[in-house]
Formats: sequence, C-alpha cells, structure tokens
Amino acid sequence: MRVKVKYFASIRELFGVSEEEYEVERGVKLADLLLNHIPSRHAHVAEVWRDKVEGFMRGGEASYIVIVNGDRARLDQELKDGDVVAVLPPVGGG
Amino acid sequence: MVTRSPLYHRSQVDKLSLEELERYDRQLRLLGFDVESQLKLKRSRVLIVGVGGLGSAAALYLASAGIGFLRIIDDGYVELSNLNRQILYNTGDLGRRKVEVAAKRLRELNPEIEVEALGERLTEENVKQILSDVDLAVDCLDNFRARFILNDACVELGKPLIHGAIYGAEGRLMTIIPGRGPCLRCLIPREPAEHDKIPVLGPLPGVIGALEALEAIKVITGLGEPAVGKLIIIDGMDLSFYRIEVRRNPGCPACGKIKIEGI
Repeated sequence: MRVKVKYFASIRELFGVSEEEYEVERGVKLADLLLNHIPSRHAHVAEVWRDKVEGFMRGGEASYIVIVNGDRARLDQELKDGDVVAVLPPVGGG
Repeated sequence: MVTRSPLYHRSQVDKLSLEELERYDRQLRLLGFDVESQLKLKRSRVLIVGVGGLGSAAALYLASAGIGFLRIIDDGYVELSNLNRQILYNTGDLGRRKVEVAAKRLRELNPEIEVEALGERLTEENVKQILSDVDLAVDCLDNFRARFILNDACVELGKPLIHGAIYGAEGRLMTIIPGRGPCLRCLIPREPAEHDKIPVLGPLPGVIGALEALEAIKVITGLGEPAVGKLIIIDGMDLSFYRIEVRRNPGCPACGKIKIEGI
C-alpha cells in the first residue's frame, strides 16, 4: 500500500522535497515509517533526521507534531492505504 | 524609552464620537459586533511583542480596529532585509529604531488610540512589569527563548496570549487563555534549536499577523470562538489549512498547576 508524507519547515529543506510517497507493507505503524522507511530513503541525513524527531519518538514530549489525515497521530497507529502523514517541526520565525 | 502620541487625548471611554462611529462603521455593521464591542476595544490595552513581519500586520490591524492602548516592544532597527515582509517600514526608514517608526505610523493611521513604544528586549526581568497593566499580549517574536519568557509570564498573570510563528511559506497560530486551554509549553515542551536567518515569504507573516489581530479582537469582544486548544497551520505552498487539537499537558512546567476553568 502507499502513503504520502508531507514535510514542513526545516524538514522540507533537510530532505529537499515537500512531499513524497512510500510503498509500505500493510499494517505498518507510524513509528516504522518515521524510524525506518524515511531515514533509509534519506540515508545521507538520517542521523540529523533521527536527532530531530527524537522528541517525538520518546512519545508525548513532542515538539514535533505528526498528523495523519489532519488529526494528531500516535506512534503506534497503524497506517492505511492512502494515508497522508504530515511532519511538522516547531517554527519560531516572526 | 517611552514616547506618547502628542495627538492622544484621553477621550471618553463610555461612548464613541461621530468620527469614531464613522471610522469603525464597517465593523459595527458586523453581526454580533455593536457599539459595546467597539467600546471594549477602546477600553482595552494590548501588548505587541516584536514589530517585525508578524508584528507589522498585527499592529496595523489592531490600531485600525480601535484598540485603545497599544504597547509595542522591540529593540531592533530597520534593515534593508526586513522590507520584504515588515510592512510598517519604508525604505526611507533604514537605520531607524523600529518601535519609533512603528508608533508614528500607527498614530497616523489612528489618532484615536494611544501607542506606547518600548525600544528594548523582553526579558525575564522586565516581562511582568510590561504585562502588568495590559489585558492581552500578542506574540510576534522571532525566537523561542523570548516566547517562553512571554508565555510563562502570561500564564502566571492570567493574561491571554495570541501565539503566531512562521517559517518559509508556513505559518502557525494558537490562542492561549490560561486556565482554559493549553499554553505554548504544552505544545512545545523543549526550547528548539534556533536558526538565525530563516527563509520567509512576506505574505505569510502578513497572514498570520492579521489572524493574530483577529484572535485578539475576538478575545476582547467575546466575538466568535478563539483558537484555544487548536493549533492552526497554514502551508502557503499549496494553501493547505490544518486545525489540530492541542491538549493541556498536566505536567506542564508553566500551566500544569492552573485549575481548569469551571472545575
């Protein structure tokens, strides 16, 4: 199945794309997508990415916001075909 | 440094002059907005922290809406690279202190209001005094350090705070009413790393600053439903709008100890 991932703010610049699609196995959890699928495609910045999403990974202590189909998501949430995942780092400009 | 408008005169706060009725005519025609709403704006005192991209739009709309007292604080000077987004300033203002230019412009826009200009930085030392005699604060800052100082003081003093932030073509907005919803630390528990010069497309701080002014007007007048507990996200690249729920963090170091309203 396929899911779409949208990146915001500094993550958009880190990866050089604002959105992309991932072919993932059925029943994959959001955490798998964030920890495995995304960093393996962006291997050259995988460490930076892991460091940046660390807060979210710890669960709850999220300065990052990840939303699926417009709603705030849980790490153990199972993704469905056609889901749109959005990854939002905190932004502080004014 | 405090400068006051020479035009300002303490006009009556329990009624509107003929000029004011005409100046505010279009908003007075709004359903749910009447003379009493306008008087609430006239009697209100609002702090705008930062007069950059967000603050330019927010201050212009709050001044034109008739907020009776605006206090603006910023320690910056107008630079050429500000002018793609900071619409309070003209090319001829380069090198001038932002709050002085801004206060003059806002008084020219609306001589009915009082504008106080503070050419300093918001710090842990001065924040409570600066907040003490205002009804509401608008976060138009460009860094998290000062945002957290402002958030914590607003929570402690029980002052509503309108949070806005931008990056690139993206904007965020949340209205914080201490005791009624989450605060900035519930949303962002740890101070993120700061970037010195971030990319900004000018219209984005314009949009978010204008929405911050709208939220301030709503909180002051009781009009509509402010975005309490809702983070508004605007992606200017494809004009996606997201409105996501943000919950209070019971362990929040800033607002965790406040009782929920009505309980």
